Amino acid sequence: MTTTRRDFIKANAVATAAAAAGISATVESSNLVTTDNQLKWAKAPCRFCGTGCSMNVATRDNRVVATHGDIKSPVNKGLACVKGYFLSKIMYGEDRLQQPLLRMTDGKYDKHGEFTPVSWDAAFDIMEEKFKTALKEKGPRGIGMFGSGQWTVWEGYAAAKLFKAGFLSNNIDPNARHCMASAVVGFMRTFGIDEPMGCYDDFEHADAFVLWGSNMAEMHPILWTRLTDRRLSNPDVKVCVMSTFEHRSFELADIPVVFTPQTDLAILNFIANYIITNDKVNTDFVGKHVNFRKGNDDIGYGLRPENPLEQAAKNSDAVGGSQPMSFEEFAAFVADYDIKSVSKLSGVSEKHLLAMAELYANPKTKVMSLWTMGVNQHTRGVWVNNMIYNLHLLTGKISEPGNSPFSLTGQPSACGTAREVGTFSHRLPADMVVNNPEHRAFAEKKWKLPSGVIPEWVGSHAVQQNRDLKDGKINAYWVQVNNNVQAAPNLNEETLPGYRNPDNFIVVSDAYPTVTAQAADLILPTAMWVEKEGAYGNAERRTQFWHQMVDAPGEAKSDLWQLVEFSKRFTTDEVWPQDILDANPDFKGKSLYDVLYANGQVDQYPLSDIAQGNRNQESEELGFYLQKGLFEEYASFGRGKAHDLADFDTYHKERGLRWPVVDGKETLWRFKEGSDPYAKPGSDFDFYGKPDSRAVVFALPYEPAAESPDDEYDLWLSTGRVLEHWHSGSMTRRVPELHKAFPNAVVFMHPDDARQRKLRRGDEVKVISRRGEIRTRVETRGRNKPPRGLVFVPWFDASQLINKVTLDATDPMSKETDYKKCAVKIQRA
Amino acid sequence: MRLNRRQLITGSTNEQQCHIASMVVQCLPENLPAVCASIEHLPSAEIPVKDNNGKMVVLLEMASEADLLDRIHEIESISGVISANLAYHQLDDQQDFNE
Repeated sequence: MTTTRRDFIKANAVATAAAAAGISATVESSNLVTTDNQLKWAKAPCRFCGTGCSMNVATRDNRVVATHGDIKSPVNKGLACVKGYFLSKIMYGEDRLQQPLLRMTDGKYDKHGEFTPVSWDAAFDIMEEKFKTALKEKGPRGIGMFGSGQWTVWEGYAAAKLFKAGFLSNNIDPNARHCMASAVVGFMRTFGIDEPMGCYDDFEHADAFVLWGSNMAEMHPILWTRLTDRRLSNPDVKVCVMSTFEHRSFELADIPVVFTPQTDLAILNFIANYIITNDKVNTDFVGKHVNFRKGNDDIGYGLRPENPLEQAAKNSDAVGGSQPMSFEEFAAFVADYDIKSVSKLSGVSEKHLLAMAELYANPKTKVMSLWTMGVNQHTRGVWVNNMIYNLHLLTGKISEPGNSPFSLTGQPSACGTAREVGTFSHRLPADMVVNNPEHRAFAEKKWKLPSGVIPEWVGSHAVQQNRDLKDGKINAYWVQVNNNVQAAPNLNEETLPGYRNPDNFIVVSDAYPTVTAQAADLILPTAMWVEKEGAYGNAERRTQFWHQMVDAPGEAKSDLWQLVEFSKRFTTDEVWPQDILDANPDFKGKSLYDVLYANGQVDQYPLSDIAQGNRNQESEELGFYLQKGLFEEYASFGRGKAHDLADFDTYHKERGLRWPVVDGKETLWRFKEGSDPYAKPGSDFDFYGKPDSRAVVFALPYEPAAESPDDEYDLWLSTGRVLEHWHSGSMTRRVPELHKAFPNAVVFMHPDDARQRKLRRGDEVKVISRRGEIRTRVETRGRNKPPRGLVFVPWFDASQLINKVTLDATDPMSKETDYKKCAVKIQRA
Repeated sequence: MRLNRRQLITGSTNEQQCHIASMVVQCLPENLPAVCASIEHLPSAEIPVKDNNGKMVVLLEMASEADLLDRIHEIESISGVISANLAYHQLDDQQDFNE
């Protein structure tokens, strides 16, 4: 009996894997993964990275018990990485927060008190008091919110609306500022519209892959498998892996390139120069579809204005400026970047530079460029994004299968929520911005609000919010779905002093007691992932939905519920200017809940629209289908404007669709006539984000990093992730198996650098910068192999907060921190 | 939960757990023989299907989830392995000894 059943399970296991690998076409693919008929299976996108794998989630007795890659998913085709496999355990850590906790002494709120359980009412009471005080004393600039690329679409939308249209404050920013902001500004500057033109189908069409700093083997393992599959089944396909240190992705590299930090700028200009001097410019494409501009240089490093580096920068007040130039002027600009000088500067051999350049230059080679944090977390991150597009635009290798500059994403909804919904301090939905009066008027009309309510000032971005907290400019602050004390740079000098500033009241909504929660004054216990109905948008513009499958533990509630409930505690009379109320008497005395959510639009869908058999905690409590109402109102911003989303119910049936979805059809390649319905007939290519439908090639120079090694701080420090842990580890470190696999951070360093400091593998050391230090252990072997002069420390470990050491230098345009470059020294502890 | 006699005697309820999992592993074709040999050398790991491009299915049969993860890590860290991901996992915990 047992043998028979076990053989059956084994046969199933083999057949499923073979189908996923595409090895044996004769085996029928199937999602059958259990003989246990008490399990209920449903689909949900993975909770972790921006790849957006679709998972089958099994529940039994109100608990998630198993997860498997969904064989019917076009993204992961049945596979799951090790994190995805352990998804079922992320909600069941022993220290899951189940009731609100307020710092109290003798039964009263006290900033120096101990965390004490309180009711939701009591939690909202003190929160209301503190937000009202801050609004009264400092106005809308005195409050702030820090959100997330892990918010569901409607959570991000509800939050942005509450702040921008309710509290009339643009001081709301997502943690996507730390990961995708440079990509966003890069897209807007080159194309005038956000997010990649291509999609994951490019993996099966490209002849060459160039990884600009990305370690896909560990950070995007499922996409890496697709890339590897293409390489293995087509021996002519070439893979170029570039990084400042050798990592796992180098196993597949035909062209392995380790370069000196910051010299990617010079390498990019060398390749552009090579394309031009070897007569490989696609002159027809460039003539019809491209403009050339010279960008402002010497733009500073996004530090505090009094920093000497900012004082010395020529264009620190005009960082995004540019002037038109001719192709000939562009050619002359990049001519300085010859192979000899770039090879010397970057440390990359001439042979490898030529091999890389040829991938782009050869008109027969279809190239996919891939990048994530190595490019975006860079004080010139916008420039690097622009300069990668330069190569694809000079050669016309764009918007066609396999020709694809592709910006990978780190969070599950950095695209779908943080970017598309417009949760940045300068943005509104569908790529609109707060400092454009037409955009504000459009949003006010969609939201059925009086003209002039949305403030025109750009709010404080992530790093600025921490500076504002420290300086006492923001006094009431709410953090949702992220761990910013661990994630933000320069923790000792900026973050912690801000959170613990006696003038400030800090609220953190989280599922677990992260270091951020522990630095707060009030902790709100939060429902996560399939404990609520959700929607995420992945890196290829794919919007995916899921249903609530289980109830959250204890009194934990979703971020959405928290936002909507909190809105009931404010009236327009309390937070809106008198002149607007006088001009619009209908709005007097209304609660923000009435104005923003029970506005006749968001509350128009009945509970009966919820698909049968599914719980929906928030809607059941409010009496209408909240998520559907929020989504449909939000989607109305982008329909007909090249951001079209399908209707709500469709997404619950599909395994995601890539926008723009026009006439029920998703779009795989944008800007190309025939595949993008918005590309005008006869245009061939149409970069319609720009007024003249032309994309921009930018002339931008190499400039040094904000901080480089010197005699005292003699090593580069780069930070990043490892396969087993996702970001700050607040979920993955609570999965015992993942914790055991990589329990603590280490400093990866070259054996000769260790020997020179009389250190051996396993020795305890201090990693010290001008700002702070951590204790860790030396690792000279294993998956990451830095060159001499550079060390790598992953940032998932809350007991080794590497952001005490990092520098809060940001890209002056995107305001995204450079976590990949600062100077440190290493001493025996 | 129904316990069988051996579990009552030994006090262990997990003895009969069996985790069956399959993975898709990729390596360069020239490394295929060496990688296959390394995997097949591991206890409770077999390669029922492979192709000449360097792709293979690895079947694992382990007594606990922790053992399973350890084995996955061992496979991942074999020199030459480019990617290793899970395709299927089932816990077979039915306790029928036909006694």
